[in-house]
Amino acid sequence: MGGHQMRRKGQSLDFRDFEHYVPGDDVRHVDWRASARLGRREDLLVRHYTAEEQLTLVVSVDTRPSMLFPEAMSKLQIAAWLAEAVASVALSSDDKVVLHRLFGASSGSLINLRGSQSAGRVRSILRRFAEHQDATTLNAKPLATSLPPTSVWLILTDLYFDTEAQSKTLARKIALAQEGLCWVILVDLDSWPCERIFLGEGARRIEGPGLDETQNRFEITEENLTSVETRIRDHKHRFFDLVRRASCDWVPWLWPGELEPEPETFFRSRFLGDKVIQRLFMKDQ
Amino acid sequence: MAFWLLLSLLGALILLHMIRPRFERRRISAARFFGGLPPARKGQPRLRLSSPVRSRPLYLQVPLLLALLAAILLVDKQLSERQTLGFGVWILIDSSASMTTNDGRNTRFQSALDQARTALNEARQTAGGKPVCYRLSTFDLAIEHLSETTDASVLADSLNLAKPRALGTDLNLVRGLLASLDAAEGDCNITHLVVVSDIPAPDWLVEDRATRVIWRHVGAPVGNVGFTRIGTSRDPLTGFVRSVEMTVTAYGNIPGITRLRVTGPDGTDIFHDGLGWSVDGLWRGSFVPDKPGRYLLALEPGGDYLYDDRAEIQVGAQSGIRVDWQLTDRGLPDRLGWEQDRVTPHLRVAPLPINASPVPTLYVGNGYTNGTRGEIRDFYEGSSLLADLNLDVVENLQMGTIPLPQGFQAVLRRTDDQVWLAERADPIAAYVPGLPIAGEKNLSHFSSTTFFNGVKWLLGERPAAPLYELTSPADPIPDGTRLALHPDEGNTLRGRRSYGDLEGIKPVPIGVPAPPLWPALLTLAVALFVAERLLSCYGGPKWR
Repeated sequence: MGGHQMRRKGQSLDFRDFEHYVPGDDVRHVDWRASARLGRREDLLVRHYTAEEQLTLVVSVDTRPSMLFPEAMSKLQIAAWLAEAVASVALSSDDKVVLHRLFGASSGSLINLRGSQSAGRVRSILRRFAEHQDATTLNAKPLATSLPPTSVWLILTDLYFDTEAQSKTLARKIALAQEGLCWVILVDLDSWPCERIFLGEGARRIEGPGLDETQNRFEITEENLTSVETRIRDHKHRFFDLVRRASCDWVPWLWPGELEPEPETFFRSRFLGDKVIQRLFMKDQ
Repeated sequence: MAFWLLLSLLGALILLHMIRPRFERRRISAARFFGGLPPARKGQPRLRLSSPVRSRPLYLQVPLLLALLAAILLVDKQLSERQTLGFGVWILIDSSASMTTNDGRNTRFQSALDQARTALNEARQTAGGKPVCYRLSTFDLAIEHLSETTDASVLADSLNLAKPRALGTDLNLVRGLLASLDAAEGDCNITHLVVVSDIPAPDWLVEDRATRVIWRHVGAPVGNVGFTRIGTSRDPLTGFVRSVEMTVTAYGNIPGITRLRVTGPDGTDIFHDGLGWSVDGLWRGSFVPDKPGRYLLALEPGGDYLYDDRAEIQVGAQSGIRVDWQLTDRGLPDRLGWEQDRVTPHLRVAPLPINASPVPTLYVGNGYTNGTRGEIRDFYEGSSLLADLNLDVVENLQMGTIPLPQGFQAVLRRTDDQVWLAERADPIAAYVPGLPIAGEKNLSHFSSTTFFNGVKWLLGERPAAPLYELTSPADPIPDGTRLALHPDEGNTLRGRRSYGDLEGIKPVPIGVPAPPLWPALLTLAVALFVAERLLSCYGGPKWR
């Protein structure tokens, strides 16, 4: 798998460059001779190396009820296909793949896979994940040991979190991962364009996660739709405000504004056209 | 009823698809973001015309109901077509000679007419006022069509035209007629064939047929005495009538006294005596017609069937064989009574050498005594000269041989290519070694057989003038030597056997119904139903 030749400062075999010494650098890597020859009197130069390690790809899949919509092309279906695709590529490159259920109980939520022969298990594991639709608990704890430095963390979610706490917890976890030199890719599965078309106009009884069933009759107007769209955007902005500090890669997958989109067509175009996904598979030169 | 029910269902289905909830249900993932928006004050109208058009299940449900509707309509229609009834009656009356037999009050033919009238009345009552195709025909050795009409009274009048004829009976005509009726298509659909005859119903009537056959037997069994054969015994070479042979058959109880009178051409009785019957009711006898002319044969008394009681026969003038005998030995033609005629002979018997005379010639060799033995090389199996010959003895006979004459076919040839017997097709001629001789048995037999085989072959088939002729559809009236001695007509003792009943003359379904379409429509409806249900379960929300 490409992209896993992670450039980081560390102990390795291949010299990369000299950098000025900063507190915390390993003093064993100070090149005294180079410092004397090239640096100023007060400067010390430290040798840095390129490290190439085996990649760990962690794929976290959101399985909350909101991921089951829209019925014509559910977000969970697209997430499962994406997870299966990247996991299969990684496993065929002999990388380590960790499948992670983002919400729910921690038991059985983390599956380690290695070797190309494990690719066949991905689909059944994801199917088992999909059966678990607990939306209350962000299942972040098991990741503590599964996100080694230089790993890639692919998060597949619609970001429709129920509580602010869930957003904060995930944001914090992302920040931690960044600090541990992980490459975090957040795939935002956004089906609103499709659902907007589906809603149409007129009197509607809206059903779905997070809405009180006794107060769910609305007049669908352009004004109301714009209002809902604003709410969604604000909801995501609040999350990204928390995350942006850690600056992860945000990959929005926007559903087409069609009543009955073709899932295979949509997935193929997004998967093959996404720059970040392409970078994930690209070998560094 | 079912039609209207399904039509109502169709309307209800479309109405059902037009109905929409006052608040259409939408299940979405972004439902949480609607919380706090102002609630709707009123719902939307309940019915919308455009809704059915957008409903995918409707596109399966409507064809399903339409298929059911069409199936129901076609079931009714096709069943009614199957029940289309046809009615046409053909009355076929036996007009053969035996139908003239008197059963006591009536002749059989009069009884047959009564049966025909009964059948006609039955058909007329069944038809009510509806037009029915009627036909009337008679049959004996031919079928005579008398009438075809839709008016029963016209047919009843036509019955008066029917007459018996002094002819035999050919049941194959009736069988062929039935077969043609089964295959026939036309304006006059005959559904019933009513046959009235004094012959019992044949077995082949039970065969499965489109046309119903009712066979009414008329005539009670009555005894009869009559000629059943009048033949001749003839000379094989000349065809002369040596004697007239007669067979008289008594059907039923053997009568006490039946006399046969044979009157010659000059009016004198040649024979007049009572008949002595064999145990099987037969009498066989013969007389020698000593002169050409008409002979009258009469049974006294005859039976209830009259056409076999007397017969007039003609014995033709007897002319002998005229021969141009060119051999020196004239003993044989004298003994045979052959007439010498050098100008217009039937046959020439000549010694060798061969010539090309157009007169049929039998060439006679030098005899059977001055030859040598020899083995047969081959023989012509198809030759008449070899009839009744035993070839095993030929090689032991010392017969004279000759080289195969030019233009001849070897009939019996020796290994040295010499022939014993030969023949020529054109002009017709034959060669035999010699005249018939007496003496050693095999040689006597061989010489006589080959000589007379040759004579017979050269004379050819000389048709003998018949004693009498039979009546025919062209000449149905007995007159002089035209007799009505048709086989089995005199058997008036046959048991009664009818088939079918005149009350069975009812309209019957006609025509071959087309394969019904409704089962296919029903299958289509079932398939649509299954598809609709499967799509509803697995096809996603657009099919619900």
